[in-house]
Amino acid sequence: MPKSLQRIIGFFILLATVGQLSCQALIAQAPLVLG
Amino acid sequence: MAVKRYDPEAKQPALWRGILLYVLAFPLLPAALFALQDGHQVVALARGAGFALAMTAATLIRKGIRLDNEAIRRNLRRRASTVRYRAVGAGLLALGMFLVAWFGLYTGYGPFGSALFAVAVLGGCYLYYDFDGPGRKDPDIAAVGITTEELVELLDEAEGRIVAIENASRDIANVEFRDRLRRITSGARSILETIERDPVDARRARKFLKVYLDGARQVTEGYARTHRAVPAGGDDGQTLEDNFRRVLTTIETVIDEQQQKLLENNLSELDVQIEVLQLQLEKEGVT
Repeated sequence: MPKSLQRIIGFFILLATVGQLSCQALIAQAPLVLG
Repeated sequence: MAVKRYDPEAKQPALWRGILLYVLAFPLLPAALFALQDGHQVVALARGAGFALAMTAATLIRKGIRLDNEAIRRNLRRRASTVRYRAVGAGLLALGMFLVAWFGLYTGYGPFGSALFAVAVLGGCYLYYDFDGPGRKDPDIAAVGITTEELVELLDEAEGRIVAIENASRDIANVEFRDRLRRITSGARSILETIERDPVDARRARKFLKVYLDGARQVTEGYARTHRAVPAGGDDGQTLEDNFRRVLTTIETVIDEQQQKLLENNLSELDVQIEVLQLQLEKEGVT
């Protein structure tokens, strides 16, 4: 697999895991904070 | 190849790849604080732990990338470090995300789902960052016993000392001394270049790089500082000059000896290689 493709896949996996979890944690908090 | 001049001000290329994790994990910090504000201690703790682990992981991974870049910049084909920074960083990040997924959300993913997240994070890190360069797979290189981390530190320190000698020599008015110091620094640089080409030599030249070069720096800086205060024509000035001249001769001899030693080592290695090859050929009946 070419290196650049590997990087792109890795990037999206990190975005979908780390990014998703941290944003989910923050957004889940939003109604509580705002309400 | 000309010896590349060390520039301590030279900027390292920006490590954009290493910054991603800081950005992605940052929302965990406000999320942890909000959860604490609402009285959900376990959730806040899990998010806080996730944030701390992700930040540590990002720092370790950046360090791993920087070492790798340094090795490429200096043409060192070495094992990057005794610590596998990127692999350890990925492990910490996976643990952090496992905690966040399980305990850090009000609708947690449960142990199985969280473990899947952790595995995905490990995979993502492997694809995006790589865990180790090819050096590790090469037994010849791994067996030498000096890592890029140690080597870069050794070479950087030595370069710093050479630059300090050059800076101090600018304050010396005596043309003879300046010429000799210039020869000394270029000799020392060529030793550094030999080591960059063949890091096995690093262990042999360690004493030279650490002790003698530092001694030369101290003496040169000391002379540059004091010689102006002493009148040139007087006895004191003459004694100081004679002493400094003697020290310079010693340093020149040490540099010559060091270069000679490195050359002899390379030759004796070549001798051994030739002998081994000859034995091999004789054994296999070619000669």
